[in-house]
Amino acid sequence: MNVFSKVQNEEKGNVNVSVVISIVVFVMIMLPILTLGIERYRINIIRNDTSTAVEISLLSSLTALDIYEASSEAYNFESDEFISTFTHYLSLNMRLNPDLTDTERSLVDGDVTINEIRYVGTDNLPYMNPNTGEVFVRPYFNIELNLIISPSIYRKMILDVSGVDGFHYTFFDDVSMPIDN
Amino acid sequence: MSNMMSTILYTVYIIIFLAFVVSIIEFTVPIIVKADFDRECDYYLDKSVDAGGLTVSETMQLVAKIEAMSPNINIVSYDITRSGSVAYKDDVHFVINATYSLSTITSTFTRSNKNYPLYYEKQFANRRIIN
Repeated sequence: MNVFSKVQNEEKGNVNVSVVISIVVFVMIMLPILTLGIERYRINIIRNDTSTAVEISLLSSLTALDIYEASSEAYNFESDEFISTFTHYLSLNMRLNPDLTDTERSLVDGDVTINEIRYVGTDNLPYMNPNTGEVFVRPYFNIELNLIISPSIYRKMILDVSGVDGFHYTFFDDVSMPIDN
Repeated sequence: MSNMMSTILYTVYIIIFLAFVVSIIEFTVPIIVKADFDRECDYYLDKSVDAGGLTVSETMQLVAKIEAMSPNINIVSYDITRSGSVAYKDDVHFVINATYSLSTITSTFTRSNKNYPLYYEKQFANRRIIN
């Protein structure tokens, strides 16, 4: 009788332990991995959308300012005129306010900051973008933006714990000078 | 008693696990549909940038392709500038507004349709000179 009770207690203990281990594995390993995978996929979507917005905004700025008429080597791409035109199109294409603050329909979850727009001349050509593998044989631009992205899963909890309004994401892109320009 | 206890515990665990898997799928599907929608629109946006807009048949092709992606997609409106209709440097619009409806679990035994917005809006200066 004593032996039977002992076996029964051990079995009961094993069941409880295995269920607890399963829950711990699920919560501590599977959940974060799945969440990270989904967030990474979502960031890729935002990145691709931002890349499209940046490319057509840059092309629009070059067209709107008739830069192809002047020598691109002589033009100052850091001038207020160029930056404001680029900002105008970027705000339209990322669905932001004109001052690049976010709206309810914007692609990102916070304000966008233009860190750098750098025109690279014909030096170092051909150049291969190390991230995308794209090869540039014409003059191109380095563009760097600062985006704010919030997590989509457990958003409130993660932001409350982190004590921030969103996470900063530095966006880099290289855009080739179009042939017309 | 022990077997019964373990059965109950595992049943509860499996129910929680399945509920989580279903909610993850319901959360992920609209994100994947949005990515496919963007990819299709990007392809036609490139055409639009080159030609200063899309022809009527290209616009219809795009609409048909989006609708063919899923029977749950409903195109609410679209505004795509027709190629050759705007002057050089004027703005070309490329806007598609659609919804994707998905039946999601709202409580233990009820489901309801939820509409997810699929919105694509781009605007750019026309680079094409029409003679």
